[in-house]
Amino acid sequence: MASALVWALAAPVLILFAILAGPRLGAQPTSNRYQQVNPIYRADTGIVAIYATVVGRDGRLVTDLSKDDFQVLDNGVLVQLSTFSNEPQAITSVMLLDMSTSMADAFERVRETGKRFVGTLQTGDRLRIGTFGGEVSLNPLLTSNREKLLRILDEELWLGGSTPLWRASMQAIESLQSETGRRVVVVASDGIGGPSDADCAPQVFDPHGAIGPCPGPADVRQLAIRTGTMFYAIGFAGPGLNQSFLAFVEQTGGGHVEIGRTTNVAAIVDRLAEELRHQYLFGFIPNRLDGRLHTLTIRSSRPGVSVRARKSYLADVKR
Amino acid sequence: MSPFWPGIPLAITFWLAIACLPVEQTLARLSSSVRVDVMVEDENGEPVSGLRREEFQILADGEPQQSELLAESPALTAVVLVDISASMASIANAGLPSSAHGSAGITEAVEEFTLKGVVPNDRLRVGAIGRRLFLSEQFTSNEELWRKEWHELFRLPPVEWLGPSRLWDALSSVIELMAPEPGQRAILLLSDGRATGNEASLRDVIDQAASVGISVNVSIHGEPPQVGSVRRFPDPTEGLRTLADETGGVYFWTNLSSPETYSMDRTKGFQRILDRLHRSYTLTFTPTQHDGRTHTLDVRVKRTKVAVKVRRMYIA
Repeated sequence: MASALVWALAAPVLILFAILAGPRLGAQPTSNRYQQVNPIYRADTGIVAIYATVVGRDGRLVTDLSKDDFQVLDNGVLVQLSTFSNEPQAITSVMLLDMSTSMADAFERVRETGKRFVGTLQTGDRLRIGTFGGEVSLNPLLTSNREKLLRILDEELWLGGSTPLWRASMQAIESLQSETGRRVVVVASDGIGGPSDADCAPQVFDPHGAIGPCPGPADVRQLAIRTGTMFYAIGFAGPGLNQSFLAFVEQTGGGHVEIGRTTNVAAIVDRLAEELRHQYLFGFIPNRLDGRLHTLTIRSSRPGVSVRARKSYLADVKR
Repeated sequence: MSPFWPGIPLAITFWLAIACLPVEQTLARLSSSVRVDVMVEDENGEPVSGLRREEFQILADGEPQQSELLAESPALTAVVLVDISASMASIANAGLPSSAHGSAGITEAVEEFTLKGVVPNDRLRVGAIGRRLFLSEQFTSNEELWRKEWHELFRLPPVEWLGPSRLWDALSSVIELMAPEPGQRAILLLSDGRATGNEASLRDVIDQAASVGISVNVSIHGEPPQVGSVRRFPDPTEGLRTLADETGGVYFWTNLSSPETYSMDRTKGFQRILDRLHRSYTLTFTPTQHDGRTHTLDVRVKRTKVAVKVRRMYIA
C-alpha cells in the first residue's frame, strides 16, 4: 500500500519530467560524430597535425603511400611521427562566397560551385556557408544536412558591396576554432579589385572605429598558422586573386584553381573535394615549445611525386 | 486496491501541466475554435469598413465553414521590428544629405521612421534585427515607455549591424514569444529582405506565423519590380512579399534612398500598416476535425473588386 502511495505521488512528477526533458535528453549531438568514431587526432593533444596532398607527375592524387614513404622535418630536423593515416578524412569546412558587386557576371556559377560542393559531402563531413560583400555573414549552421545548406545557397546570396576578403577569412577561421581535427576554408572569389577593397568594406559605416581595426593579411596568416587552418581558393574571372592571397593559401598547405567562363565547374569542385578527402595525416609532438614559428618540410621517397602541406607551425602551448 | 488508483497520477500530471500555463494560453488551448483576422481592401488599396458576417465565407481545406464575426477594430498586440543591418545602412544613407545621417549612419536615418498610428489600447514591443535580435522588455501601452525604448535601439554599436542579417531567425523568435498573447497579433517590419546567416528558412517562418495566426506586415525598403522586366539576380524583396501574403499581412514600398520620398516615407512610417490592422475583421470558426495538423485556409468576401488579406493555413 505504501509503495502504491509513493508511486502515485512520484509518477506525475516523473511523467511531467519525461515530457518536458524527453526531447532534449533524446537529442543526440551530431556535430562531432566523425571525431567520436574516428578519433585520429584532436587539436588539444599537443600534437602538431599536418594534412598533406600528394600528386604524381600527371597531376593525379597519389593515395597509396605508407608512413615509411615520408620524412617530416621540423626546422630541418627529422621528427618521429606519432600519428599517420592515409585513410579518407572527413571535411570540416567553411565555404566563403564573394558577393561583391564585381561578381555579378559570375553569380550563378558561384552558386553552382557552392551547390556542387554541398553535393560532394559525405557522412561525417560538415560545412558552414558564408558570404562577404556589403556584409560579412557566416551562417551559424555547421552541418552535413544538404537540404539546409542548399536552402542557404538559394535564399541568402545577395550581390553588392566590395570585397572584405581578409575580414571574412578571419571570421571563417575563428568560426572553426572550437572544432577538432582538420579545418578547411574554401574561398570562391574574383579577387580584390583595388587597394580600397583590401580594407573592410563596412568600415565606411564605422568612422569612429568602434568595431576595431580591420584585419589584414598578416593577422589572418598568423591565426591560420596558429590554428592550422587550411585555405583553398577558387578564382573566378575578374581582377584575379592577388599574389598576397595566393601566397597565403600556399602557406596553409591548400590549393588554388581558376574557373573561367566556360570551365566545367562540376569537375573542378569534384577534384577539390577528392583532394580534401584523400589527404595524408601526419602528427608529431614537438621537442620544444619555444613560442616561435617553425618551418615544416615533408619529403617523399616515392620518385616523381610532390607533397603540398602547411609550411610552418607555431611551437606554442596555445597552439 | 482501488480500481481507480492508476488514474490518480495521470490526473495529477494533467492538472500540473495545466497549472503551469498562463490562463490565456490555457483557455486558448482548450478552445476548439480558430481565430481568423482578415483585412479587406478595395480596388484602390483602401481598407473596406462595415462588412457584415454574412458577407464573409471561410473555406478550410476548400470546404465552407460556419463562422462568427467577433468585432471590428480589435485591440492589437504588436512587435515593431527594424532591420538595422549593413545593407539597410547603404540604402538608408544613399539619398540623404550628409547632415541628415552624419556619422551615425543608419541609426539616424531609420530612427526617424515613425511609429505614428499607434492607438491607446495597442500593446507594443519594439526591436531591432542585426546580427542578433534586440527587443524591449515587455509589451506595453505606455507610449512614453515604448518611444524611449525605440530610440535606445539605435544606440547599438556597429558590431551589431555589420552582418549577418538574421532576419528569419529573429522573426521566428518573435513569433514564438508572441504566440501565447491574446487577441489580434501582428509583426511590423522595416527591411530590405537581404536575409543572411539564418538557421530558419523563409518557409519555416511563414508556416510558423500562419499556423498560430500572427500576421507579418512589411514596410519594404526598395523599389517595386517593374512589370515585364527580367531580373538577372534574385530579388530580396520577394521573400518579404511572400511572407506578408501568406500570413495575412500587408506590405508597402518605402524608399529611404530617394531624397524625393525620404521625408514622406519616414513621416508615414508604419502608419499605413497600423491603419490596416486597426480596420481589420475578426472571424472565428470551429473546425470539424481536431487532428493537430495544418490545413489550408481562405476567406472570401461577397463583394466585387476587393482583396482579402488572410493567413493561408491554420492548425486544427
